[in-house]
Amino acid sequence: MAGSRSPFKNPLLKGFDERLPVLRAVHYSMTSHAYPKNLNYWWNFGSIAGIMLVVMILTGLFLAMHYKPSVQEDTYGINQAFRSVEHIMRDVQGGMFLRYMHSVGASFFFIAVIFHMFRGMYYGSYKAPREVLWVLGCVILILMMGIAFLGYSLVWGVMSFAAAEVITQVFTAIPILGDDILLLLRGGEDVDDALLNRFFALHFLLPFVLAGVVILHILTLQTVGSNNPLGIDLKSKKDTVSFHPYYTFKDIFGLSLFFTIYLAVVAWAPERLAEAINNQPTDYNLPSHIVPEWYLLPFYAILKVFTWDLNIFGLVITGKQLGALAMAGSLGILFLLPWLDTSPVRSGRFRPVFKVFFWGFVLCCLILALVGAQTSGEAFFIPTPFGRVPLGFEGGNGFVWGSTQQWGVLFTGYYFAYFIVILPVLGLFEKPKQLPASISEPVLA
Amino acid sequence: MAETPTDVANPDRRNFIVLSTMAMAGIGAASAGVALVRTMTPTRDVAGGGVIEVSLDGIAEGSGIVATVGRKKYSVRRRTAAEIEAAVAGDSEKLRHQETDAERVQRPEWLVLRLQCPHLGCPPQGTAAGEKRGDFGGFFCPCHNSQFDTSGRIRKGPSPSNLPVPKYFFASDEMIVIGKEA
Amino acid sequence: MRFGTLLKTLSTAAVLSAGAAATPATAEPAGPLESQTWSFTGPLGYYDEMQLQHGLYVYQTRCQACHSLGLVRFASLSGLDVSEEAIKALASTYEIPYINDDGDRDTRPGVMNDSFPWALDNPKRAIATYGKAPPDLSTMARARIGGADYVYNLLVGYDDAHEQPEGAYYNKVMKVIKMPNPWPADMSDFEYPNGTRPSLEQQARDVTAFLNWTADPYLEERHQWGIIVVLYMLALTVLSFLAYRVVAAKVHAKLEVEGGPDPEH
Repeated sequence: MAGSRSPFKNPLLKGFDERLPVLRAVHYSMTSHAYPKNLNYWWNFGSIAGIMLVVMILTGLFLAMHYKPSVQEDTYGINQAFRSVEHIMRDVQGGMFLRYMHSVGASFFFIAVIFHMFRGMYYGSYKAPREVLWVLGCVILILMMGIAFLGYSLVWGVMSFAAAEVITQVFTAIPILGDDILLLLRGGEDVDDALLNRFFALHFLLPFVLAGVVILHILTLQTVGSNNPLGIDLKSKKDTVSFHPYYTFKDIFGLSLFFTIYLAVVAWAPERLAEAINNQPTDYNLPSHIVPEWYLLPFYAILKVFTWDLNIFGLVITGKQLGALAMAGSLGILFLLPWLDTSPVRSGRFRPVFKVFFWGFVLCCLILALVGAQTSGEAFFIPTPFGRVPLGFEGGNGFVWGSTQQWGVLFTGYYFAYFIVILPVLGLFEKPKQLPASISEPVLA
Repeated sequence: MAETPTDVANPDRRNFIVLSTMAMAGIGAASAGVALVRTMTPTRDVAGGGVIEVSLDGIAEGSGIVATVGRKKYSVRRRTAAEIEAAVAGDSEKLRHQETDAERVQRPEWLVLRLQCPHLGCPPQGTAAGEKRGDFGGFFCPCHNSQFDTSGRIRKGPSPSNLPVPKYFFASDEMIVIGKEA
Repeated sequence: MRFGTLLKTLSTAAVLSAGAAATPATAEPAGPLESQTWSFTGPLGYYDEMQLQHGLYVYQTRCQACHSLGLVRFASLSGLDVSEEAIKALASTYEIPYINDDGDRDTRPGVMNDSFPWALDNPKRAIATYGKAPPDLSTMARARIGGADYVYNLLVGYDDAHEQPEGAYYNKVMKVIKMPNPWPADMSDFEYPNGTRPSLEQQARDVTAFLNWTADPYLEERHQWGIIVVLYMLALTVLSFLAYRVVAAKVHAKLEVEGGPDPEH
């Protein structure tokens, strides 16, 4: 739209816009870009995620005005970082809301992004011509995971320290360079003041990098256009609407509903999604049961289920390296998704067999999250409001059938098989249902 | 999202709903903004305070002490008879910032000032005997050479006004409280 | 002025309860917790100020000989409905270590902005004596799964009949605990400043409520905020849904006539 005329009548706006055409870019993207008219409520999560990023950056900015990244301890054994977080909660006017908006907000940011991604996977939004859009989305996910981990460490509670200790240790799995990378991350042999300070610097910077990638993500979206629940291309003006006002108001509605839940959690269950023990300042002892925040659990599960070494013609890959490779691979393979799915049909609505495997994949991620939260060697169980449903039991001689680790290996297998085997093969053999001719003509062609 | 008969019949009602939605969302966003900025106001553990008790015991005539509250400095100076006389004599001069000595002190012997030059905020010298006191025997600001008389009034140099007198009161003959009124 | 005189009643019970405490390796209790009813749970949960004041009294009598509340400033006790004079008097009964003008280690009476101090001289001596420094209790009720229920169950969970290794005690919540039983065998003389004689369970409940307050002092404010904010959000949700339907009707009507933006654009 850059070559178009300024749409503004107000001389001040018009004059400014003629010298720097950003206003018209926004104007035209809201009013003359063609969006499919049939987007359903699953499409709300994109703008919800965008708004959550704004909420996180704003609350984070004001938190940073009070936070002190220092491990120095006072006579109570409380480090300054932890104390400054509590100072925010106790002494800053409205500080408790600020802090909980940020910590609960991280969870809700992930909730929005997870729904957004599963929607993209179900409706085939990653397929041509939207490969770059999808890849940028994967970059956003990885950045978010990194930023969330950095932020969690800043509290310098018992679990913050454990997370920083364990996750930086993962880098030693890299052959030859591993130990040097560890030294560079920590700024010393130990997880200490140097690490906390650089984590704070990075936690402040990376969200702006993330915002930059989000802008690219949106620019790509405007270039290739939005996918839709039918997964078919826009054919005529009968199929389209402009973003404003139709989707602006639909998004305001979705956003309001989402924020109702988010703010209710802030008010009544702000610690529900967090690890309780992180409310205690670290004494530099690792707790016996280390778990990351819930949104990292599936990847943590993939990291920890590999306990055996692999010997390929004398080249030994240790269990630790396997775990690190698998975790990196589980994220890396998301980037390849557009080229692994061979089906010409985008939307899962017309792919009866795909649907089954897709919901299997969603279940797989949930199971892996539970695996990540439970102790490897013990019998696996599903927690329900009515008690635990055991999926494993103690066999004789101390062997556990259906241990957390065994279930973890099984579903790690499914996770990778979904991308490497199921999607490539399914596209070749599945017989999709017949597609409609266009969005405005739901009758079959 | 079928079009209902009411929607078609009352086009004005539609606009009202759309506008109130936008107004309501705007109110929410504005309140959030206010709440965010409010977190920058002084925290509960620094709000208040700023009061100090100063013992006048042992302050020799012609000298004084500097009391510090937080980052603020106050001068408590015991004036000699000659200094008081000079200060009162200054009342009839043409001053940049016209104030009488009587308006600036509660007891003529004791001069209590906030040590912050009204020019750009440096702490003037001259409280203790032996410090540079400038041409008028009062206070001297080393940053830009403002010179104050024995009542702390600006007499020469860039300061636009006199050295400010803080709130204070005599708790007894031996003790003053700076930072609040009796 | 009840609080000014509180500390003077610090009895031998406090001395008896001095000892080590242990940080558990996990936040999880060893067994199921006996769930309690608290005034501060639920969407409109609030603190009972009288109970908090009693809890503070129990804390002073039974906990503070070993533990501290390093994040709780005396001034914040106004949240317990205690007058400013009473808080100042209470604060001045504590000795706060500082370095005096001569450069020597010294103590001075506490002021409003000080926190409940640590009674043990320094952490190293505590570790040398007990094997572990007793943890600060400011956030404890937030730092264990089960929250207030965990704290209460732990406090009433001692069973001295169980055999334990030297220096450790049996507790239903933490099977091996280094913190000794805080309750003396005979508490028949113990009474609250208002003259009532609380049972062990009542004391445990009151001090638990107090520790929940120290961990989450703005709970009531948050609950009230929640009611207002959620009502506002629900109203906005309903309103924006109606607005969306209004806009959708208009857009669809326009779509019938002239269509939307050109997809080829």
